[in-house]
Amino acid sequence: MIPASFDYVRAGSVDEAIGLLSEHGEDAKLLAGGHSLLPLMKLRLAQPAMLIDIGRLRELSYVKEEKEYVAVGALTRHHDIAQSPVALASAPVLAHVAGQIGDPQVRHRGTIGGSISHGDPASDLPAVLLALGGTLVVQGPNGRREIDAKDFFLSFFEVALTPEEVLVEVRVPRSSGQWGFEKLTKRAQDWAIVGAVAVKTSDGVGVGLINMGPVPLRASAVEAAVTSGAKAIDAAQLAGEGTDPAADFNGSVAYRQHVAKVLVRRALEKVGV
Amino acid sequence: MHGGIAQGVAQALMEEVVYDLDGNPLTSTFADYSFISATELPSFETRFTETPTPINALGAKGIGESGTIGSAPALHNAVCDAVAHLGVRHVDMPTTPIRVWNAINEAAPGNDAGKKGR
Repeated sequence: MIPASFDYVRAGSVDEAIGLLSEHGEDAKLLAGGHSLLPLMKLRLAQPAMLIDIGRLRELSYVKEEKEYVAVGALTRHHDIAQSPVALASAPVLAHVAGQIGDPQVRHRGTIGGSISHGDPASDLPAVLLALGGTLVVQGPNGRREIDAKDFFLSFFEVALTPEEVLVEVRVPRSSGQWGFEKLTKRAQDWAIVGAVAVKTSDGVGVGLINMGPVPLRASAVEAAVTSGAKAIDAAQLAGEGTDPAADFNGSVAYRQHVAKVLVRRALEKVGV
Repeated sequence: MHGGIAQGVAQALMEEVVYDLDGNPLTSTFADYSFISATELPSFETRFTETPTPINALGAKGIGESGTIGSAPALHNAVCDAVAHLGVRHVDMPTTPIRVWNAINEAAPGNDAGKKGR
């Protein structure tokens, strides 16, 4: 539970953080709320030589309403998203799920950008971004670029950020319609054994799965079935398609695929499918 | 009393030290070892009876364990009763979701492995 030794520097701006990342390369990691990275370091599953602290860049903490989307600064804490009037009105599923992460201590320290760029398939927020069809704005030495959420999660704990880039903003289409979020945990504070989220979008219904493979997944087979008119109970039978969940003492592969069908059915019923 | 009840509930439903086949501990942090908290528990109603002991000056007795002793079998029996109509005769403690699901599948009609009894 003692991390390997590391150097620490606090960045005063996003540009300074990018400069430090360029200088230190893959040996450096960004530190925001620390609720994903620090546990990994204590288990020595991560041993960065340099931590670049961006946690005090308050200019990256906001929830703003734009014409087409809701923009959330990468350093916005889960609690602030859960309480944000803008999020509650125009991205209520995001506000709800942010309020269900971990426990109050985690929600007051952990940030949306930290959770997303960590790339943990057991985290709740990536599945919401996939279901909503969100976009990630990242900034590097050559300026900003946008990445579709569906192209962001590459493999287990690996995302489409280059070593010099900082995730600066998360965008989700405005969506005040129906949504359903279901997760199975032994205790409220635990990571989901399995989770599912369904949202009404402009193209139909988006369905995201939590902890059902090495990356956060979109349940494409379920979405297609709903589009062609299937009811929740039938569409949900396809929830295991394309999944590759891990087996551990909380659940076998077959158990997780069974639970995914149950949770997807419940989430679909909440969006009126 | 409430803490004792909570401890017994946790023993019945979730608390367990788990090792892999090579003897490595899998529940080495409180992220993996499921201690219980107020979030998982209902409100309790407690009633008191007073029977002072004559063998000390205060009449005081220890009662903390009584909640633990009663709540673990109460919870475990409730879980077993809830799935008894599916043919389940036994579930190991703690009755985690995966254990209950496995027990239901083993007892399912047509699954000979589940008919061996215990």
